[in-house]
Amino acid sequence: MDDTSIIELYWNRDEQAISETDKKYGKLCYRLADNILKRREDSEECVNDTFLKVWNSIPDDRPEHFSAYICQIVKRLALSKFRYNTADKRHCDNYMSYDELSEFVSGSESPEDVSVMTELSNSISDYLASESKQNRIIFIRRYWYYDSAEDIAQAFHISPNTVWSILSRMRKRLKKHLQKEGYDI
Amino acid sequence: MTIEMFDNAINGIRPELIEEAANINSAPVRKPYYKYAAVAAVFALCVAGGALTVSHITRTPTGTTSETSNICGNELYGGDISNSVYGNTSEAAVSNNMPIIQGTAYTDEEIMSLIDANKEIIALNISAEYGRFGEEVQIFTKGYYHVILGETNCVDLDYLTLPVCIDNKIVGNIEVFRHNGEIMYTLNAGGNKWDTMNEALEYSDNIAFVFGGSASEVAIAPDNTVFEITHDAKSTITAGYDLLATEYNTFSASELTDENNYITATAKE
Repeated sequence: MDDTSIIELYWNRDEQAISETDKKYGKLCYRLADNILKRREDSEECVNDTFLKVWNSIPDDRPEHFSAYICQIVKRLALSKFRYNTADKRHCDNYMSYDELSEFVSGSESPEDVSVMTELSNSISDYLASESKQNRIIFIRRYWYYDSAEDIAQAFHISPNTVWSILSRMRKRLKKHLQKEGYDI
Repeated sequence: MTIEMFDNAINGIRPELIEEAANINSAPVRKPYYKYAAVAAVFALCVAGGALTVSHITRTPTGTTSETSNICGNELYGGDISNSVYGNTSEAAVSNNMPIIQGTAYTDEEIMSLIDANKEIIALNISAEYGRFGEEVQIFTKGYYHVILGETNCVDLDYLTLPVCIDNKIVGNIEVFRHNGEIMYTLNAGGNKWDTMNEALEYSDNIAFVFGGSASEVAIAPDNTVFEITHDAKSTITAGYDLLATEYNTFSASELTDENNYITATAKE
């Protein structure tokens, strides 16, 4: 079923909407949640919470990009749960093991208000749009969906080292792009 | 900027991009790759664009990696090669400036250590690819760094290509790159590109290698004859060797026969 039809089911308060959403995006949601939570029970619970949230949000929402809409909810809930689960542990924010990004940013704190972050997101989007489709998806699967390089490599039928190489080059290009836009990274 | 801030910024990218990546299978993929259970589970073989790529996870800590200011890496690098400067045209729409250097060059010790630690597995994969067991595989410790074409031509010292030969003919290469402070490499073999590289080195002793895209590489002779390594085509560009040849990205046929430039290993079936 296409996304428009699924959304229509939500608007009609037809519970088939949830089963259709699960059928189409259940695995994607679970994978995203599990990339963050790393625990089957928590991930499943997160996906169920997501479906409930979507049920309660549509209507009034009529998302133009349904999969992105769902994934954003999954991610938000998963991150929230992850922070709750790890609240008493050190380095609780290291859920992504972002060694590669620690090389990318300076690490210094600076006042970043919401509008600046929005602009930064837009600038990153502009950069990604300028890349080839494959590169763009690899980047987003790694840094938005938190997929491992091995999983990405498998999906693209390339080697993990090639994924690392592509990501490394993209980080450099993105850094240049952002510096050109005036961001102090 | 902290990682958390940057992560938040990535979280806020446009939904159409998130949606595009949601269906990872919608992306253009290369040919299927075939895994071999050879020797160890630390490498995989893949057929990529007609060439076999052997990816290896062996690495050598460097401890010296530094993030340098980044001035290259333009749209052409990783972009669509159909719009790149060479194609089969006779024009070169590259910058008229000499390449600018970035990155950190590998020391001889780093390369020797990497090759020495991996020579057997490299030889095994090369021999298996060509069915040439028992022959000496020459793994070069000297090669050429990546020069990237674009608005700002650039030598990227974080990427180094080392030829791999049998009987002094190139049959593959190793792409060395840095990742999280470690040196990693990808071994490439198979396909027709090696014939083009050998042809280029037979055509002229000095050849400059340049990249126009993530999978696009050309060899330029001093008379500006261009050998398109990834496309098996030949063309001539008007701005070429004099502009783009540097000490970092030139390689000569005579270097292929210098025993001091390679380490050998032989694999048995």
